[in-house]
Amino acid sequence: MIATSYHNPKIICISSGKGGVGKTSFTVNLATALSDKGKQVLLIDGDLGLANVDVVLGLNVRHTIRETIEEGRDLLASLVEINPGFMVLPASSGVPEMANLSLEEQAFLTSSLEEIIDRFDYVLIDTAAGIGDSVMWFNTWAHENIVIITPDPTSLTDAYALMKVLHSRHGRNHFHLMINSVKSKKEGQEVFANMSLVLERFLKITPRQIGAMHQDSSVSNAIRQQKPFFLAAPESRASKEIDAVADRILAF
Amino acid sequence: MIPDTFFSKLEEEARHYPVNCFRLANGAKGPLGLLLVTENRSGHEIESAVAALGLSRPGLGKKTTKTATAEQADQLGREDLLQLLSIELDRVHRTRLPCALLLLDISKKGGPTRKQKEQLMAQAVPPLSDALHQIDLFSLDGQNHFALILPGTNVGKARNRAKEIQQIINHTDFSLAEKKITPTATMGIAVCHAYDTLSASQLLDMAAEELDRALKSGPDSICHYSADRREDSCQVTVEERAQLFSFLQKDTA
Repeated sequence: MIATSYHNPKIICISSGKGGVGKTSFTVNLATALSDKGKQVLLIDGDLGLANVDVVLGLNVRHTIRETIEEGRDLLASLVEINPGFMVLPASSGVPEMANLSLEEQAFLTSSLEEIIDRFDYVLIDTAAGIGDSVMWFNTWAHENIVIITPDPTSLTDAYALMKVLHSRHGRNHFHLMINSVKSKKEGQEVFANMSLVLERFLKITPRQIGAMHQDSSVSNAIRQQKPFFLAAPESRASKEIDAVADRILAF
Repeated sequence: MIPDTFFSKLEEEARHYPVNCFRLANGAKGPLGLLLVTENRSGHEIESAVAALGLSRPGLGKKTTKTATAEQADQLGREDLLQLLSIELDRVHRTRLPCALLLLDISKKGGPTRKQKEQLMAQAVPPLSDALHQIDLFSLDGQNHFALILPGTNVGKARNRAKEIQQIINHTDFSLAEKKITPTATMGIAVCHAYDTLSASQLLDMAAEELDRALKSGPDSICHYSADRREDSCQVTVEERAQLFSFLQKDTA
Protein backbone atom coordinates (compact mmCIF):
# COMPACT_ATOMS: atom_id res chain seq x y z
CA MET A 1 0.00 0.00 0.00
CA ILE A 2 1.35 3.40 -0.89
CA ALA A 3 1.29 6.13 1.72
CA THR A 4 -0.88 9.01 0.58
CA SER A 5 0.40 11.76 2.89
CA TYR A 6 2.79 14.17 1.21
CA HIS A 7 6.42 14.47 2.24
CA ASN A 8 9.38 16.45 1.11
CA PRO A 9 11.51 13.56 -0.04
CA LYS A 10 15.28 13.53 0.19
CA ILE A 11 16.66 12.15 -3.06
CA ILE A 12 19.93 10.28 -2.61
CA CYS A 13 21.89 8.91 -5.55
CA ILE A 14 24.32 6.03 -5.03
CA SER A 15 27.07 5.62 -7.64
CA SER A 16 30.56 4.22 -7.84
CA GLY A 17 32.10 4.64 -11.26
CA LYS A 18 33.30 1.04 -11.26
CA GLY A 19 30.87 -1.87 -11.25
CA GLY A 20 30.92 -4.74 -8.78
CA VAL A 21 31.82 -2.72 -5.69
CA GLY A 22 28.62 -3.55 -3.81
CA LYS A 23 26.49 -0.62 -4.87
CA THR A 24 23.21 -2.49 -5.28
CA SER A 25 23.65 -4.54 -2.11
CA PHE A 26 24.47 -1.36 -0.16
CA THR A 27 21.45 0.50 -1.57
CA VAL A 28 18.97 -2.33 -0.99
CA ASN A 29 20.13 -2.77 2.60
CA LEU A 30 20.19 0.97 3.26
CA ALA A 31 16.59 1.20 2.02
CA THR A 32 15.68 -1.74 4.27
CA ALA A 33 17.35 -0.09 7.28
CA LEU A 34 15.65 3.26 6.65
CA SER A 35 12.25 1.61 6.34
CA ASP A 36 13.01 -0.31 9.55
CA LYS A 37 13.37 3.10 11.22
CA GLY A 38 9.84 4.01 10.18
CA LYS A 39 10.65 5.95 7.01
CA GLN A 40 8.82 5.67 3.70
CA VAL A 41 11.46 4.69 1.18
CA LEU A 42 11.41 4.39 -2.60
CA LEU A 43 14.31 2.58 -4.22
CA ILE A 44 14.68 3.34 -7.93
CA ASP A 45 16.75 0.92 -9.97
CA GLY A 46 18.71 3.48 -11.95
CA ASP A 47 20.60 0.88 -13.96
CA LEU A 48 17.96 1.18 -16.65
CA GLY A 49 19.43 -1.33 -19.12
CA LEU A 50 21.01 -3.87 -16.77
CA ALA A 51 18.88 -3.76 -13.65
CA ASN A 52 19.46 -6.06 -10.70
CA VAL A 53 17.79 -4.58 -7.63
CA ASP A 54 14.99 -7.08 -8.33
CA VAL A 55 17.55 -9.89 -8.41
CA VAL A 56 19.08 -8.92 -5.08
CA LEU A 57 15.57 -8.79 -3.55
CA GLY A 58 14.35 -11.98 -5.23
CA LEU A 59 11.47 -10.24 -7.00
CA ASN A 60 9.55 -11.46 -10.02
CA VAL A 61 9.00 -8.23 -11.85
CA ARG A 62 6.29 -7.85 -14.48
CA HIS A 63 6.43 -4.12 -15.12
CA THR A 64 9.38 -1.75 -15.10
CA ILE A 65 10.35 1.82 -15.89
CA ARG A 66 10.55 0.67 -19.51
CA GLU A 67 6.76 0.49 -19.84
CA THR A 68 6.51 4.06 -18.63
CA ILE A 69 9.04 5.28 -21.19
CA GLU A 70 7.74 3.23 -24.09
CA GLU A 71 4.01 3.05 -23.39
CA GLY A 72 3.37 5.94 -21.01
CA ARG A 73 2.26 3.51 -18.28
CA ASP A 74 1.74 5.10 -14.85
CA LEU A 75 4.89 4.63 -12.75
CA LEU A 76 2.78 3.93 -9.67
CA ALA A 77 1.53 0.75 -11.33
CA SER A 78 5.11 -0.50 -11.64
CA LEU A 79 6.00 -0.05 -7.97
CA VAL A 80 6.68 -3.23 -6.03
CA GLU A 81 6.01 -3.26 -2.29
CA ILE A 82 8.71 -4.95 -0.23
CA ASN A 83 7.16 -3.90 3.06
CA PRO A 84 4.71 -1.10 3.93
CA GLY A 85 7.57 1.40 4.17
CA PHE A 86 9.72 0.19 1.28
CA MET A 87 8.78 0.29 -2.39
CA VAL A 88 10.94 -0.57 -5.39
CA LEU A 89 10.71 0.87 -8.88
CA PRO A 90 12.33 -1.83 -11.01
CA ALA A 91 14.10 -1.33 -14.32
CA SER A 92 14.60 -3.66 -17.27
CA SER A 93 17.53 -5.94 -17.94
CA GLY A 94 19.06 -6.60 -21.34
CA VAL A 95 17.45 -3.64 -23.06
CA PRO A 96 20.20 -1.51 -24.62
CA GLU A 97 17.73 1.23 -25.65
CA MET A 98 16.95 1.90 -21.99
CA ALA A 99 20.62 2.48 -21.22
CA ASN A 100 20.70 5.38 -23.68
CA LEU A 101 17.59 7.44 -23.14
CA SER A 102 17.15 10.51 -25.30
CA LEU A 103 16.95 13.92 -23.69
CA GLU A 104 13.20 13.94 -24.24
CA GLU A 105 12.81 10.51 -22.61
CA GLN A 106 14.92 11.63 -19.66
CA ALA A 107 12.74 14.71 -19.24
CA PHE A 108 9.61 12.58 -19.42
CA LEU A 109 10.96 10.16 -16.82
CA THR A 110 11.94 13.03 -14.52
CA SER A 111 8.45 14.51 -14.64
CA SER A 112 6.87 11.06 -14.13
CA LEU A 113 9.11 10.43 -11.11
CA GLU A 114 8.37 13.83 -9.66
CA GLU A 115 4.68 12.94 -9.69
CA ILE A 116 5.18 9.94 -7.39
CA ILE A 117 8.08 10.72 -5.08
CA ASP A 118 6.29 13.07 -2.70
CA ARG A 119 4.71 10.02 -1.06
CA PHE A 120 8.11 9.07 0.34
CA ASP A 121 10.60 10.37 2.90
CA TYR A 122 13.62 9.03 1.05
CA VAL A 123 14.21 8.22 -2.60
CA LEU A 124 17.34 6.11 -3.16
CA ILE A 125 18.69 5.64 -6.67
CA ASP A 126 21.00 2.76 -7.47
CA THR A 127 22.70 3.96 -10.66
CA ALA A 128 24.53 2.03 -13.34
CA ALA A 129 28.30 1.81 -13.29
CA GLY A 130 30.27 4.22 -15.46
CA ILE A 131 29.81 7.88 -16.25
CA GLY A 132 27.06 7.60 -18.86
CA ASP A 133 24.25 10.08 -19.38
CA SER A 134 21.79 8.33 -17.06
CA VAL A 135 24.35 8.23 -14.24
CA MET A 136 25.03 11.94 -14.62
CA TRP A 137 21.34 12.72 -14.91
CA PHE A 138 20.33 10.79 -11.77
CA ASN A 139 23.23 12.31 -9.84
CA THR A 140 22.27 15.84 -10.80
CA TRP A 141 18.62 15.19 -10.01
CA ALA A 142 19.47 14.00 -6.49
CA HIS A 143 19.92 16.17 -3.41
CA GLU A 144 22.76 14.07 -2.05
CA ASN A 145 25.42 11.97 -3.76
CA ILE A 146 26.91 8.88 -2.17
CA VAL A 147 29.95 7.39 -3.92
CA ILE A 148 30.97 3.85 -3.05
CA ILE A 149 34.66 3.01 -3.18
CA THR A 150 36.74 -0.01 -2.29
CA PRO A 151 40.49 -0.06 -1.63
CA ASP A 152 41.14 -1.38 -5.17
CA PRO A 153 43.05 0.97 -7.50
CA THR A 154 40.45 0.53 -10.24
CA SER A 155 37.63 1.49 -7.90
CA LEU A 156 39.57 4.50 -6.62
CA THR A 157 40.31 5.73 -10.13
CA ASP A 158 36.77 5.25 -11.41
CA ALA A 159 35.16 6.83 -8.35
CA TYR A 160 37.51 9.80 -8.58
CA ALA A 161 36.78 10.16 -12.32
CA LEU A 162 33.04 10.10 -11.58
CA MET A 163 33.36 12.81 -8.95
CA LYS A 164 35.61 14.85 -11.22
CA VAL A 165 33.04 14.80 -14.02
CA LEU A 166 30.18 15.55 -11.63
CA HIS A 167 32.14 18.43 -10.17
CA SER A 168 33.62 19.87 -13.37
CA ARG A 169 30.63 19.55 -15.64
CA HIS A 170 27.69 19.45 -13.30
CA GLY A 171 28.76 21.70 -10.46
CA ARG A 172 28.37 19.03 -7.75
CA ASN A 173 30.57 19.78 -4.74
CA HIS A 174 29.28 17.60 -1.92
CA PHE A 175 30.03 13.91 -1.90
CA HIS A 176 29.51 11.31 0.81
CA LEU A 177 32.02 8.50 0.56
CA MET A 178 31.12 4.96 1.54
CA ILE A 179 34.17 2.72 1.85
CA ASN A 180 33.24 -0.87 1.12
CA SER A 181 35.07 -4.19 1.51
CA VAL A 182 37.74 -2.98 3.92
CA LYS A 183 39.86 -5.46 5.86
CA SER A 184 40.23 -3.26 8.90
CA LYS A 185 39.04 0.02 10.37
CA LYS A 186 42.52 1.43 9.70
CA GLU A 187 42.30 0.53 6.02
CA GLY A 188 38.94 2.29 5.76
CA GLN A 189 40.37 5.41 7.37
CA GLU A 190 43.38 5.37 5.04
CA VAL A 191 41.23 5.01 1.92
CA PHE A 192 39.01 7.89 2.98
CA ALA A 193 41.93 10.11 4.03
CA ASN A 194 43.72 9.50 0.77
CA MET A 195 40.69 10.13 -1.42
CA SER A 196 39.94 13.29 0.58
CA LEU A 197 43.49 14.49 0.01
CA VAL A 198 43.25 14.01 -3.77
CA LEU A 199 39.80 15.65 -3.97
CA GLU A 200 40.91 18.62 -1.89
CA ARG A 201 44.19 19.05 -3.73
CA PHE A 202 42.98 18.73 -7.31
CA LEU A 203 39.28 19.59 -7.20
CA LYS A 204 39.17 21.78 -4.08
CA ILE A 205 36.28 19.81 -2.63
CA THR A 206 35.99 18.20 0.78
CA PRO A 207 34.10 14.90 0.92
CA ARG A 208 32.39 13.46 3.97
CA GLN A 209 32.60 9.85 5.05
CA ILE A 210 29.23 8.27 5.53
CA GLY A 211 30.52 4.91 6.64
CA ALA A 212 32.73 1.91 6.04
CA MET A 213 31.83 -1.73 5.64
CA HIS A 214 34.10 -4.63 6.39
CA GLN A 215 34.39 -7.71 4.23
CA ASP A 216 31.68 -9.94 5.62
CA SER A 217 30.56 -13.36 4.42
CA SER A 218 26.98 -12.61 5.49
CA VAL A 219 26.81 -10.11 2.60
CA SER A 220 27.58 -12.66 -0.11
CA ASN A 221 25.45 -15.28 1.62
CA ALA A 222 22.46 -12.93 1.64
CA ILE A 223 22.93 -12.07 -2.03
CA ARG A 224 22.80 -15.78 -2.87
CA GLN A 225 19.62 -16.09 -0.82
CA GLN A 226 18.27 -13.01 -2.63
CA LYS A 227 17.51 -11.29 0.67
CA PRO A 228 18.84 -8.10 2.26
CA PHE A 229 21.56 -9.04 4.76
CA PHE A 230 19.97 -6.51 7.10
CA LEU A 231 17.09 -9.00 7.42
CA ALA A 232 18.88 -12.31 6.76
CA ALA A 233 21.68 -11.61 9.24
CA PRO A 234 20.54 -8.75 11.47
CA GLU A 235 23.30 -9.36 14.01
CA SER A 236 26.09 -9.36 11.45
CA ARG A 237 28.76 -6.68 11.41
CA ALA A 238 27.53 -5.57 7.97
CA SER A 239 24.01 -5.01 9.32
CA LYS A 240 25.29 -2.91 12.20
CA GLU A 241 27.42 -0.86 9.82
CA ILE A 242 24.51 -0.24 7.46
CA ASP A 243 22.35 0.70 10.45
CA ALA A 244 24.94 3.32 11.38
CA VAL A 245 24.87 4.68 7.82
CA ALA A 246 21.06 4.91 7.98
CA ASP A 247 21.34 6.91 11.22
CA ARG A 248 23.74 9.34 9.54
CA ILE A 249 21.35 9.71 6.61
CA LEU A 250 18.50 10.54 8.98
CA ALA A 251 20.67 13.42 10.18
CA PHE A 252 21.15 14.87 6.65
CA MET B 1 -8.95 11.04 -36.49
CA ILE B 2 -10.45 12.50 -33.32
CA PRO B 3 -13.49 14.67 -34.14
CA ASP B 4 -13.22 18.40 -33.56
CA THR B 5 -16.25 18.35 -31.26
CA PHE B 6 -14.26 16.23 -28.80
CA PHE B 7 -11.66 18.99 -28.44
CA SER B 8 -14.35 21.66 -28.26
CA LYS B 9 -15.98 19.82 -25.33
CA LEU B 10 -12.65 19.57 -23.52
CA GLU B 11 -11.96 23.26 -24.14
CA GLU B 12 -15.37 24.09 -22.71
CA GLU B 13 -14.60 21.98 -19.63
CA ALA B 14 -11.19 23.67 -19.22
CA ARG B 15 -12.88 27.07 -18.94
CA HIS B 16 -14.02 26.07 -15.45
CA TYR B 17 -10.41 25.94 -14.27
CA PRO B 18 -7.68 28.61 -13.91
CA VAL B 19 -5.84 27.42 -17.00
CA ASN B 20 -5.22 28.51 -20.55
CA CYS B 21 -6.04 25.90 -23.12
CA PHE B 22 -4.17 25.45 -26.41
CA ARG B 23 -4.64 22.98 -29.23
CA LEU B 24 -1.44 21.19 -30.23
CA ALA B 25 -0.81 20.38 -33.86
CA ASN B 26 1.79 18.39 -35.74
CA GLY B 27 2.22 19.72 -39.27
CA ALA B 28 -0.82 19.29 -41.49
CA LYS B 29 -2.43 16.60 -39.31
CA GLY B 30 -5.39 17.34 -37.09
CA PRO B 31 -5.02 18.36 -33.45
CA LEU B 32 -2.81 16.05 -31.38
CA GLY B 33 -4.22 17.17 -28.08
CA LEU B 34 -4.77 20.03 -25.73
CA LEU B 35 -2.13 21.78 -23.69
CA LEU B 36 -3.42 23.09 -20.37
CA VAL B 37 -1.20 25.68 -18.75
CA THR B 38 -1.80 27.52 -15.50
CA GLU B 39 -2.81 31.12 -16.10
CA ASN B 40 0.29 32.60 -14.47
CA ARG B 41 2.63 31.21 -17.17
CA SER B 42 3.83 33.71 -19.77
CA GLY B 43 3.26 33.31 -23.48
CA HIS B 44 6.96 32.85 -24.06
CA GLU B 45 7.16 30.00 -21.55
CA ILE B 46 4.27 28.25 -23.28
CA GLU B 47 5.83 28.66 -26.70
CA SER B 48 9.14 27.42 -25.40
CA ALA B 49 7.51 24.33 -23.89
CA VAL B 50 5.60 23.60 -27.10
CA ALA B 51 8.74 24.04 -29.19
CA ALA B 52 10.69 21.74 -26.86
CA LEU B 53 8.06 19.06 -27.47
CA GLY B 54 8.64 19.43 -31.20
CA LEU B 55 5.01 20.43 -31.72
CA SER B 56 3.23 23.57 -32.68
CA ARG B 57 0.01 25.23 -31.83
CA PRO B 58 -2.06 27.26 -34.26
CA GLY B 59 -1.27 30.92 -33.91
CA LEU B 60 2.08 30.26 -32.27
CA GLY B 61 4.29 33.29 -32.53
CA LYS B 62 1.46 35.70 -33.13
CA LYS B 63 0.37 36.44 -29.61
CA THR B 64 3.64 37.49 -28.01
CA THR B 65 4.90 40.92 -28.90
CA LYS B 66 8.57 39.96 -29.14
CA THR B 67 8.20 37.37 -31.86
CA ALA B 68 9.18 38.20 -35.39
CA THR B 69 6.59 39.35 -37.84
CA ALA B 70 6.97 39.30 -41.56
CA GLU B 71 7.26 43.07 -41.62
CA GLN B 72 9.98 43.62 -39.09
CA ALA B 73 11.68 41.70 -36.30
CA ASP B 74 11.02 43.46 -33.04
CA GLN B 75 13.84 45.46 -31.61
CA LEU B 76 14.89 43.88 -28.36
CA GLY B 77 17.10 45.33 -25.67
CA ARG B 78 19.76 43.26 -23.96
CA GLU B 79 17.75 43.26 -20.74
CA ASP B 80 14.64 41.96 -22.51
CA LEU B 81 16.63 39.17 -24.09
CA LEU B 82 18.25 38.30 -20.76
CA GLN B 83 14.81 38.07 -19.21
CA LEU B 84 13.64 35.65 -21.89
CA LEU B 85 16.86 33.67 -21.61
CA SER B 86 16.40 33.41 -17.84
CA ILE B 87 13.00 31.84 -18.41
CA GLU B 88 14.60 29.40 -20.84
CA LEU B 89 17.45 28.50 -18.47
CA ASP B 90 14.96 27.88 -15.70
CA ARG B 91 13.12 25.55 -18.06
CA VAL B 92 16.41 23.81 -18.94
CA HIS B 93 16.95 22.96 -15.29
CA ARG B 94 13.36 21.85 -14.80
CA THR B 95 13.03 19.72 -17.92
CA ARG B 96 16.73 18.85 -18.33
CA LEU B 97 16.47 19.63 -22.04
CA PRO B 98 19.19 21.90 -23.42
CA CYS B 99 18.67 25.31 -24.96
CA ALA B 100 20.75 27.01 -27.62
CA LEU B 101 21.20 30.69 -28.30
CA LEU B 102 22.17 31.54 -31.86
CA LEU B 103 23.44 34.96 -32.90
CA LEU B 104 23.22 35.63 -36.61
CA ASP B 105 25.15 38.30 -38.46
CA ILE B 106 23.98 39.10 -41.98
CA SER B 107 26.47 41.06 -43.98
CA LYS B 108 28.04 41.31 -47.41
CA LYS B 109 31.54 40.76 -48.61
CA GLY B 110 33.60 43.92 -48.41
CA GLY B 111 31.67 45.18 -45.39
CA PRO B 112 28.39 47.10 -45.67
CA THR B 113 27.65 50.49 -44.20
CA ARG B 114 25.38 50.58 -41.14
CA LYS B 115 22.43 51.58 -43.33
CA GLN B 116 23.15 48.80 -45.84
CA LYS B 117 23.30 46.32 -42.97
CA GLU B 118 19.95 47.48 -41.66
CA GLN B 119 18.50 47.00 -45.15
CA LEU B 120 19.94 43.49 -45.38
CA MET B 121 18.52 42.58 -41.99
CA ALA B 122 15.11 43.93 -42.91
CA GLN B 123 15.14 41.88 -46.12
CA ALA B 124 16.14 38.76 -44.18
CA VAL B 125 13.19 38.90 -41.79
CA PRO B 126 10.39 37.65 -44.12
CA PRO B 127 12.14 34.51 -45.39
CA LEU B 128 13.52 33.68 -41.96
CA SER B 129 10.28 34.12 -40.10
CA ASP B 130 8.47 32.07 -42.76
CA ALA B 131 10.96 29.24 -42.59
CA LEU B 132 12.07 29.18 -38.98
CA HIS B 133 9.09 27.47 -37.47
CA GLN B 134 8.62 27.68 -33.71
CA ILE B 135 11.57 29.84 -32.90
CA ASP B 136 11.88 33.41 -31.82
CA LEU B 137 13.72 35.83 -34.03
CA PHE B 138 14.90 39.01 -32.47
CA SER B 139 17.04 41.86 -33.66
CA LEU B 140 19.08 43.07 -30.74
CA ASP B 141 18.60 46.74 -30.13
CA GLY B 142 21.83 48.58 -30.88
CA GLN B 143 23.46 45.45 -32.32
CA ASN B 144 23.68 44.51 -35.94
CA HIS B 145 22.63 40.93 -35.58
CA PHE B 146 19.68 38.69 -34.83
CA ALA B 147 19.28 36.53 -31.77
CA LEU B 148 17.43 33.23 -31.94
CA ILE B 149 16.49 31.20 -28.89
CA LEU B 150 16.24 27.51 -29.71
CA PRO B 151 14.53 25.58 -26.88
CA GLY B 152 15.25 21.86 -26.58
CA THR B 153 18.21 22.16 -28.91
CA ASN B 154 21.65 20.67 -28.36
CA VAL B 155 24.76 21.74 -30.24
CA GLY B 156 24.26 19.28 -33.13
CA LYS B 157 20.70 20.39 -33.74
CA ALA B 158 21.68 24.05 -33.38
CA ARG B 159 24.41 23.69 -36.02
CA ASN B 160 21.92 21.97 -38.35
CA ARG B 161 19.52 24.87 -37.79
CA ALA B 162 22.36 27.29 -38.51
CA LYS B 163 23.04 25.56 -41.83
CA GLU B 164 19.33 25.75 -42.70
CA ILE B 165 19.45 29.48 -42.01
CA GLN B 166 22.47 29.85 -44.28
CA GLN B 167 20.61 28.04 -47.05
CA ILE B 168 17.60 30.31 -46.62
CA ILE B 169 19.81 33.39 -46.85
CA ASN B 170 21.68 31.96 -49.86
CA HIS B 171 18.44 31.23 -51.71
CA THR B 172 16.87 34.61 -51.06
CA ASP B 173 17.25 37.55 -53.39
CA PHE B 174 18.81 40.47 -51.58
CA SER B 175 19.43 43.83 -53.14
CA LEU B 176 21.18 47.01 -52.19
CA ALA B 177 20.60 50.14 -54.27
CA GLU B 178 18.68 48.00 -56.77
CA LYS B 179 21.71 45.78 -57.23
CA LYS B 180 21.40 42.05 -56.49
CA ILE B 181 23.83 40.78 -53.88
CA THR B 182 24.52 37.51 -52.07
CA PRO B 183 24.88 38.25 -48.37
CA THR B 184 26.87 36.25 -45.86
CA ALA B 185 25.32 34.58 -42.81
CA THR B 186 27.82 34.15 -39.99
CA MET B 187 26.72 32.62 -36.70
CA GLY B 188 27.80 32.06 -33.14
CA ILE B 189 26.06 29.47 -30.97
CA ALA B 190 26.15 28.81 -27.24
CA VAL B 191 24.31 25.90 -25.67
CA CYS B 192 23.24 25.52 -22.07
CA HIS B 193 22.71 22.01 -20.73
CA ALA B 194 21.01 21.06 -17.48
CA TYR B 195 24.42 20.34 -15.97
CA ASP B 196 25.82 23.76 -16.91
CA THR B 197 25.70 26.43 -14.27
CA LEU B 198 25.32 29.37 -16.63
CA SER B 199 23.46 32.61 -16.09
CA ALA B 200 21.53 34.24 -18.92
CA SER B 201 24.18 36.94 -19.33
CA GLN B 202 26.95 34.34 -19.43
CA LEU B 203 25.12 32.44 -22.16
CA LEU B 204 24.61 35.61 -24.15
CA ASP B 205 28.25 36.62 -23.70
CA MET B 206 29.40 33.17 -24.80
CA ALA B 207 27.24 33.32 -27.92
CA ALA B 208 28.62 36.80 -28.65
CA GLU B 209 32.17 35.48 -28.24
CA GLU B 210 31.43 32.64 -30.64
CA LEU B 211 29.95 35.08 -33.15
CA ASP B 212 33.06 37.21 -32.83
CA ARG B 213 35.20 34.12 -33.40
CA ALA B 214 33.09 33.18 -36.43
CA LEU B 215 33.38 36.67 -37.90
CA LYS B 216 37.16 36.48 -37.53
CA SER B 217 37.19 33.00 -39.12
CA GLY B 218 35.62 34.38 -42.28
CA PRO B 219 32.19 34.91 -43.87
CA ASP B 220 29.58 32.16 -43.44
CA SER B 221 31.48 30.58 -40.54
CA ILE B 222 29.58 28.91 -37.71
CA CYS B 223 31.25 28.64 -34.32
CA HIS B 224 29.76 27.07 -31.23
CA TYR B 225 30.40 26.69 -27.55
CA SER B 226 29.20 23.79 -25.50
CA ALA B 227 30.49 21.46 -22.83
CA ASP B 228 32.00 19.07 -25.36
CA ARG B 229 34.83 21.53 -25.90
CA ARG B 230 35.78 20.95 -22.28
CA GLU B 231 35.75 17.16 -22.66
CA ASP B 232 39.44 16.66 -21.96
CA SER B 233 39.27 18.67 -18.76
CA CYS B 234 37.85 15.65 -16.92
CA GLN B 235 40.63 13.26 -17.87
CA VAL B 236 42.19 11.80 -14.70
CA THR B 237 45.79 12.98 -14.86
CA VAL B 238 48.97 11.05 -14.08
CA GLU B 239 49.47 13.23 -10.98
CA GLU B 240 45.98 12.50 -9.71
CA ARG B 241 46.48 8.78 -10.22
CA ALA B 242 49.83 8.80 -8.45
CA GLN B 243 48.23 10.51 -5.47
CA LEU B 244 45.25 8.13 -5.50
CA PHE B 245 47.53 5.10 -5.34
CA SER B 246 50.05 6.56 -2.90
CA PHE B 247 48.62 4.85 0.17
CA LEU B 248 48.65 1.49 -1.62
CA GLN B 249 52.35 1.90 -2.33
CA LYS B 250 52.96 2.67 1.36
CA ASP B 251 51.17 -0.58 2.28
CA THR B 252 53.26 -2.58 -0.18
CA ALA B 253 56.49 -1.04 1.12
